[in-house]
Amino acid sequence: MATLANILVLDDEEDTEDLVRQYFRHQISKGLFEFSFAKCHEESLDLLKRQAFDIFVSDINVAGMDGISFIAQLRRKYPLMRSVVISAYGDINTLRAAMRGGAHDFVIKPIDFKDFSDTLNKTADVVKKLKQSEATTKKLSAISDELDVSAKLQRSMLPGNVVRKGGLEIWADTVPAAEVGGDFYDFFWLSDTKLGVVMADVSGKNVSAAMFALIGKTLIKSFSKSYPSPAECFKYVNKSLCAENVATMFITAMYGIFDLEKNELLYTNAGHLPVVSIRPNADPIFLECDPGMALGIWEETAFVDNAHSFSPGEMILLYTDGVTEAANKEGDEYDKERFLEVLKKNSTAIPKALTEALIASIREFTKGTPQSDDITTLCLKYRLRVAPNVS
Amino acid sequence: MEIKIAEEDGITVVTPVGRVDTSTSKAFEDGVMSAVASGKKLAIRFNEIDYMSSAGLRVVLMAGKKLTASGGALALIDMPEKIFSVFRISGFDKILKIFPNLAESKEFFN
Repeated sequence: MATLANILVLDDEEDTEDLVRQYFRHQISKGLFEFSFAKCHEESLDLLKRQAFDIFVSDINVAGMDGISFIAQLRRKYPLMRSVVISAYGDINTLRAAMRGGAHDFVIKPIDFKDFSDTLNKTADVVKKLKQSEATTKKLSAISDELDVSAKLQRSMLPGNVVRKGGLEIWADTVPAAEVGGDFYDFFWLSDTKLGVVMADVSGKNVSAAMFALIGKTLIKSFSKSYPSPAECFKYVNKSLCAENVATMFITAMYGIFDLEKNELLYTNAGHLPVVSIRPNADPIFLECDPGMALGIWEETAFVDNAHSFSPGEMILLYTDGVTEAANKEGDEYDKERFLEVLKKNSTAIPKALTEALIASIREFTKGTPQSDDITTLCLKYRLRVAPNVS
Repeated sequence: MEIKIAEEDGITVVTPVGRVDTSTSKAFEDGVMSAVASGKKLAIRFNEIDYMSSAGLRVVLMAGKKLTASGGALALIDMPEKIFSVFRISGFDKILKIFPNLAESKEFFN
């Protein structure tokens, strides 16, 4: 297929330009080929500086110059341009050297113009494909930059890793499987003594999930200011998410309010994994509750508040299924037993140490397999401050 | 993962095989949606998958919504306990029809 090509011809013979213009007059008038002519290397370089060419045609034996190294030099300088060399019949060694040096194709003198025309057309197609591939690469690189920015943005929307206030300590972290993930956590103060904590997992991964996560996170935080009950808050978050959910995405989430005065967690569950309660040197237990449906699916979903009172030294852990369902090379899952065992072993640790031990244990288990899902955890511990005994 | 699609007693039965997670959910979606486009009575059989993440749940939910909107029906069949718990925890068992096997879903389709 003919392609618009800008061609530079280097030849020191006087009549080359006339011959070429005469033979290719139709292509030139149709705008398929555009020719420029140079008589020496300097003139070629000068023209190349001023405009972009697709094909460089050169007589390899232009008097007094090293045509082969010139072609090699052009290949490096103009990676999207291709060279066609013209050589005398039987000069196979020069041709081989030219091809090795980076020439794309060749024609033999005396020039058969039909063959020359075919060669130019084929070369023009190659250059066109090269340019398309270059454009695609640039686009991909732009998308990849966008993903980097999204990942940074997503990272920046998390509240940090740690909260310490009075006897309360939280450590939260997320390890996304793709550039940007669908998991998120949040914590925010609702008053001096009440802290909201959120753990959530958006269906799907990458940019669409991250956008939905951002919407969900914003809705939860803003409704939490108006509704003191987590279940009420989720009722309105759910309604809002259902209203314009064309992509059929959903969020499984857990939202709790920790009350430092009552030493109690009031929480609700929208299709999310149950919270684990970890007491010093005891078997950790799942706080089973009747889960409402995941957020964003059915407008009329009802949610329920559950209260859990803390005992001294107790921790709770919120997490996503990337923890319990991480799979190893054999396809076995990390599963509940391993999960609970690590939690028990670290039941007297501080939240950060417990979280790190858990993630290290998952990493050890899944060694040699790529992470398939985001791993997100939030651990909360509250140590009652005991008033000094004044006697 | 692999997806088998077969016609059984006038019902299109989609059987995913392997793991349905983030990396394979697109293939699962393509398979299920092509079956949704071609038939009104659709069943998804779950006894040949080892694992399904929320990305897979989303595909099942989309299929259900599409079929309901077009006057069709979706049944989930042969679901092992482990996969059922994924549906139960997310609350999806309340809005999707789950049957022990294809035979027991017949009445629902009729």
